[in-house]
Amino acid sequence: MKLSLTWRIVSIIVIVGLSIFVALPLYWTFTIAFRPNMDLFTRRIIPSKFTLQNIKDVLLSNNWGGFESVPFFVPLLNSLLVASSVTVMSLAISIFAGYGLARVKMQGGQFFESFILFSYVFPPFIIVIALYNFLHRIHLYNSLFGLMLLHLIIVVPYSTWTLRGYFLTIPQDIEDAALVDGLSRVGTLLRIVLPSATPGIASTAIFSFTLSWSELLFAMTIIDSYEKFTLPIALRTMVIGDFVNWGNLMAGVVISMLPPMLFYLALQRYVVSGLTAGAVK
Amino acid sequence: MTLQRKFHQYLWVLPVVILLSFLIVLPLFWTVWLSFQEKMVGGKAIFTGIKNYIDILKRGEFLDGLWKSLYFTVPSIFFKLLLGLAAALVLNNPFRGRNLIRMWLFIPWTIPRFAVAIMFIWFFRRGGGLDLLLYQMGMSDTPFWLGPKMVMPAMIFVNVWKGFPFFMVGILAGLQSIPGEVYEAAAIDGANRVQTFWRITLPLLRNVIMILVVLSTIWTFAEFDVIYLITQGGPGTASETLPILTYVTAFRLYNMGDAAAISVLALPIFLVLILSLVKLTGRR
Repeated sequence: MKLSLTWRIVSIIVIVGLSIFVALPLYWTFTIAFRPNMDLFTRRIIPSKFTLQNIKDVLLSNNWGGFESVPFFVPLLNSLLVASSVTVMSLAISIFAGYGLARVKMQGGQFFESFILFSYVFPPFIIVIALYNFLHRIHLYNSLFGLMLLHLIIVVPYSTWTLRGYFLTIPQDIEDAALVDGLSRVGTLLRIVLPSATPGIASTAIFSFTLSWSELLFAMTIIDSYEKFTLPIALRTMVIGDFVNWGNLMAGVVISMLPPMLFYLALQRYVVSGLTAGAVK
Repeated sequence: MTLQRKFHQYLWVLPVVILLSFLIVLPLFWTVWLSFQEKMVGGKAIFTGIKNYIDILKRGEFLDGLWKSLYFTVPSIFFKLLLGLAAALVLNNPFRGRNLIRMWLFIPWTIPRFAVAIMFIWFFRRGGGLDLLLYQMGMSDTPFWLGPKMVMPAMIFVNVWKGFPFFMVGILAGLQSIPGEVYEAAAIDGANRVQTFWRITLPLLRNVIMILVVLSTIWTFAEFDVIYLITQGGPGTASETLPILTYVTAFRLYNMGDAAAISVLALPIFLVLILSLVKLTGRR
């Protein structure tokens, strides 16, 4: 179908309009992170000069704008530790569950699939009070291990569901041949399927990481002392006080949003797979 | 099939199912149990029956929160669908720089919610990003965007900004799965672009759009991070949607029993949404 003139004009309006809409807050975030703080007092929109001072201040100085007893790299490292541990723990059990749901015929398999999907979209705020009491009981309140445990609630259903979808897209012939040759199901998964499924598993791992990396509610509820803070709650302390150091704050925002952003953009084609895959085909 | 082999099949999913039962299903029942107790943080729990439910309904805070949640969710979904659909329809045609534009429009979805919230704290505050832009355009008489009147539209704005790319990529994937012959046939029959859209494209996208809408409704209804970080439910209780109300009741007013009752009353809404999602995704 030929593109008419009206269609072209409408398209251009949509693209330009949406691009500006997306740019508005991003423009401010990046310019404030890389410009002198003084700029903001002069109502300038265009930065007067480019500087890495804010990034340096946040990462290196004790006076980074949040609580002063702990430097910024502590929450940064905590977040890295929590997110990578959660990713590994979750993959260890999700690979088996995802593969089992995709390939092994079991009675009630449909029920388990629905249960995983249910867990995936279940809103954590409903159970946060019970979890808070639960962690107190088992003495894991204010502990990073306790936080990891709670992050599994979000990450495990996600990765099980996504891996199941991924395994379903892999052709089954080689596996069948391996099974006929007498290899067990587990052997087939570990020796035949996993090596060829690396892209799917890698992208699942990366998105699992970002889910834990971005989690706020559980961290806010069960982490109490500054040296155990993760990034989201550490950045929150920078906006609570009377004076906000916007340069440092936006530098912190840029540092914490860059890893997920780059992951997503690099792996864009995997993003929608999981849930919509079934509907799209 | 022997009993032993039957059991072996379940070993695949057993660890995940046990873990999630302990961390989701059990806490869910515990929440219901807590909702019948009078319990302050650190204090002893006393069984009080349905007193918490009567309290939160009498004081009107539950219905108030429910209303705010609806006021937040319905327009958010509408605008996300509208913008996502428009972007997807445009990006479905080849043009130079298409991939670049698609990447750019996708960026909001990739930014963690807490980072989005902080970006918009600056954007909407007095003398912040939006005010400075409007000031340069000659408008100095701007309302307080996070004040009682404008705070909900501002929250909707943030939610749409963050969420429309999800609709965009979802619908785009749906559009690309429609075979080109369908359109050729329509063109031969003399259908114009508008007719093709309403009669062919939209009906074929129905299932995708339904799933996206239900999924996004669940997430939007449960939105906590963005609203809490920007407003803490304020000013006053102006942006206290159900998730915020639950959190504030439990951890700022230290009333665990009332908070549990609020979550329990919110639960049916989510159960209905989740069940329809399960039904929709099961329909192949």
